[in-house]
Amino acid sequence: MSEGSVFWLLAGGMLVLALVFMLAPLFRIPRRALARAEYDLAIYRDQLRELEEEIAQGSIDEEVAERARNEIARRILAADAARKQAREQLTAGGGKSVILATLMALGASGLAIFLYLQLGQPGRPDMPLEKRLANAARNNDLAALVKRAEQRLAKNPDDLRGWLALAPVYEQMGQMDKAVEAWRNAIRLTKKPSAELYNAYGEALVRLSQGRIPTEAVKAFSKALELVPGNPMSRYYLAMADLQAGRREAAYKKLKKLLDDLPSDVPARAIIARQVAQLAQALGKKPEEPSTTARTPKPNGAATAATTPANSPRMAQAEPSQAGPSAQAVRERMKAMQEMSPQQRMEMIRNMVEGLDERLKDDPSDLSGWLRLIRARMVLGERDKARTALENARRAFAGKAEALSRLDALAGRLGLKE
Amino acid sequence: MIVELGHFALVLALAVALYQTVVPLYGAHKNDARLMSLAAPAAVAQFLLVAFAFAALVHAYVYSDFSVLNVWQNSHSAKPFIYKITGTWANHEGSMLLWVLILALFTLAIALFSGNLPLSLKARALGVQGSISSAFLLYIVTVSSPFVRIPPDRVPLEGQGMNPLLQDPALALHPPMLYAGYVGFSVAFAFAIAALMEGRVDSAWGRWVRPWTLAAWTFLTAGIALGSWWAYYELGWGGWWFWDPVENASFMPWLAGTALLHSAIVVEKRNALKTWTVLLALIAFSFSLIGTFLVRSGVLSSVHAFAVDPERGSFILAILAFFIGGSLFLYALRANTLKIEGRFAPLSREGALVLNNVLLSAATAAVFIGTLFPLIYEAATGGGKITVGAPYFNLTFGTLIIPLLIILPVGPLLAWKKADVKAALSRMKASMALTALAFVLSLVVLNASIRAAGGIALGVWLVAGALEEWAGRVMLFRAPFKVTWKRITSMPGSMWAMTLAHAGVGLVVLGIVISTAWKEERIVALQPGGKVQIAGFEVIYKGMRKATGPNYLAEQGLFEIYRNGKKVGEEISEKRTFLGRRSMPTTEVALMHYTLGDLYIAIGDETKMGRTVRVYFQPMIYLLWLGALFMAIGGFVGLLDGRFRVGVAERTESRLAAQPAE
Repeated sequence: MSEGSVFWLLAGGMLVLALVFMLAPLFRIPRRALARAEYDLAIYRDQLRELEEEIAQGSIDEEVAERARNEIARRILAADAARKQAREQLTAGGGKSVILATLMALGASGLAIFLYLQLGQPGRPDMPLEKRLANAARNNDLAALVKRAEQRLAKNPDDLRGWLALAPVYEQMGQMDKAVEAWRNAIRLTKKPSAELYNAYGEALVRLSQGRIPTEAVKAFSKALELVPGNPMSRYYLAMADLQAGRREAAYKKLKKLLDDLPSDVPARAIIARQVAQLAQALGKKPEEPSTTARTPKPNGAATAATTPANSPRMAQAEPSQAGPSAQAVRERMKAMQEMSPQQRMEMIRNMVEGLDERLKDDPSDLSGWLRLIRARMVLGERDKARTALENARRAFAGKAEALSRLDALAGRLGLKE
Repeated sequence: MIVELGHFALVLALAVALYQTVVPLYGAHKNDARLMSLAAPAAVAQFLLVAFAFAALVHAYVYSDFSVLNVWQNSHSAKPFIYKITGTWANHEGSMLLWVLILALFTLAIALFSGNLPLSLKARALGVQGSISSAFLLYIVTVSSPFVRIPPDRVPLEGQGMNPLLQDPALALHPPMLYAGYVGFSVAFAFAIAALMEGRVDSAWGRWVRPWTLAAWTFLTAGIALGSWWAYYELGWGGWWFWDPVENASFMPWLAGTALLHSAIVVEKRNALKTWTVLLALIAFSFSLIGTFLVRSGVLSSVHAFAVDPERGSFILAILAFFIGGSLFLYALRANTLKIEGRFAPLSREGALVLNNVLLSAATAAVFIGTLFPLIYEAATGGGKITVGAPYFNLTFGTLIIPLLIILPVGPLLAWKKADVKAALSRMKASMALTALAFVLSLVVLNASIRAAGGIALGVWLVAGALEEWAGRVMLFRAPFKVTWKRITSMPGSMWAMTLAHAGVGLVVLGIVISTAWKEERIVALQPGGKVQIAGFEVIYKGMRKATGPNYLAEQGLFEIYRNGKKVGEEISEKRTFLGRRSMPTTEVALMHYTLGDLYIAIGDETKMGRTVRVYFQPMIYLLWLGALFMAIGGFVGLLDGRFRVGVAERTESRLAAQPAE
């Protein structure tokens, strides 16, 4: 039987029961009804009895008692007279009243059904929390799944995997306070937390304070930088922290260096380039040409358009103000990145690097490509792969002195030379 | 499914209530016994349906069914079980349903325990109860339904939590008690309307009305006392009564109900004061309705709140206009049909009770004006704010109530019809002596002001007067002990009730006067290790710590209490922040009871100077609640008086002139 029909069965039962209560007395042989005076008499008799008790007890004096007795006696006489008169007044009510009452009861039932159909949701099941949680997986109920994971973690707060699973979900749901807590717990429970973990924690803290970089976040990014020297995310946020603290010179240097180290097709470049340009302007420096090693296209005219200081560390929030097609593309990519978890973001960067690697295998004559790849490998902390790339590049440009010297220069800067 | 069945039951209850209104009243009008006899079973059905609907809502709360809008708005899955249940009525929709449930319960009680009632009076009373039920059920079903559901795909996982201030044991009991009081007066109201319809109020009527009135009054007394006790320890201001409109809203029906309680005695014993009594019955319930309206419509915080939700506000206003206006109109039409009997001299117990009625009614009016004036002012000036504070109430209410309290102990000694005041006073010699002694001692030994000394004397006069009247009644020390003992054991419940309640009033007066006159208060900023001296105690602040409750986080201030260099206690004063609601944290004060009074510590915010700490010493403030307890116990004892169980009319003497069925 469906929920709906069970509901109507029960509701119908309720209705029938109510009708029984409303109408049953009609079908009983009418009880003898008593006149009002009979009830009055009962009361006055009680009063008289109480009075006698009080007299017997001696709690009222003779004179008062006598007065009261007379008064009650008068009431009794009056009630008795009224009773004789009233005897014939009360009627049992005939068939007419049966019909009237039945119609009224049926009308009331009709009204109830009509009103309920207007206001209720017949047969809609209950949704108690426990039951909902129990069925979360089956119903693909994401919110309930999170809640369940939370309940498990409340019981066992040392479940690393639970925290790691929840943290990105919280970020996605915009509950940054919980995300921060989750990352913090994950770090607490990991023996040797990775740079990624620290970065994720730091970034969640930044998002929680809506762009400000709190001390706690600076600590996290510094830790990540220690673990993987040169990783761009930590460097970017630390530069931003400098900027927010008013150390513009230091911020400028860090950002500039970061820009130089980033492969040219990393989408965030455009933003960073703009910030560098703005800072340069603000500090009264000549906007330098992009370093020769990083052969980047002009950063979408951003440098000229940026008039406001880029004080937001959220890469994606810094929208290029020129709406050229490529700016649009960057923005979309940034937006896509913003919606990713830090892991996903790293994944995306890694994919781009792998793509570059593949391309250079097919076309090894692209010097700037090689330079970018080597730098990116270093940024990702893949020292060995960077060294392999360097060797491959040397082989590709064997005999070309100029190219080799540039490769050597980069290797020297990145500490790849033995 | 249970939610929907509850909703259906509620709607069906409305239909049954309409039936219960129309059929018996028509039957009584036609003098048709068959139709009149339909009232009681309909009342039973209505109660069962409302109870089912209420249980369905409680079920949804207990199982955190957030598909119900009301549950989502007012509950949280981490709440302790008890507050999941009480959360049901800690919000507008649920509390209105509780109101109707209690109304249905009283109606059921009339239906079941009225074998001693004439059929027409019973049918009319149940019909009137049905009409009140219909109005409120219609209100609930149409504009204030607790069964509104959230669409299935948007059901949240966690509720918004219950107002943290209300997560408290006293407040769990307070609303049901208060409502039992408010709604209890509906019975007196229904009987009064029925009597006006029949044009008959007599001694028998007084006897039927009295127990219901007493029950309502007892609940209301307990409810108000719980409310003020809660305000005392939960709000952390060290006060217990603020002449706040919400408090006044419950105090007005209590004052009117107290007058009604006494007036009904006169109707029963002397068949007099009928118009007074009927009017008081109408007024007591009218104030109950107004109290419900004031608190529930949000009109108190501002007239604007009313404008925010005009649908509900106007609906309740219409209900008020119908029942208050309608009943007073009926009174104006029919009051002159009540025969004036039972004559009495001005100086008599009746006369004293008339004075009691007049003073209590005037006091009610004073509170009423003070409560409503700011609202009227705001509405009239288009948003102007004005507050009527404690000085107004203390002056007007005090002026009216003090003469009443002075004559109170004498009243029970006056004879019915015509009294000898001199003889009555001569039976109060001991009380008078004690009162004078209390006055002088307060002035000389305690260094009290004239006002405080007068207040203490008044309290002593009330307590001593009640005891002396009781002693005279049982002939204490004037008769052999055996006689006295017999009199004590055979004293009817209503006499005990009077003695307890009147002495209770005296204790309340003493509690108010002493705690106001000798209250000590220190507000300081303390660093850990800091000390406060108060009333011979030394309070040392040890510092703060954090704690977690089932659904809240707490900051706990730790204190050590010393007296005469000896440690007498360690106490914790808390601030709690509850889950689900980002609201003001609640205070849990540290409260220590000593013979001389309460030591009361509340923590405030952390400042540069240290933690703000408020320490109060409230001398003998417990007398206040002890007095209220005496009154409530008195009411309860009075209800047990066997004499209220009126004998059932005998059924042998008259025959029914039955019409043959057509």
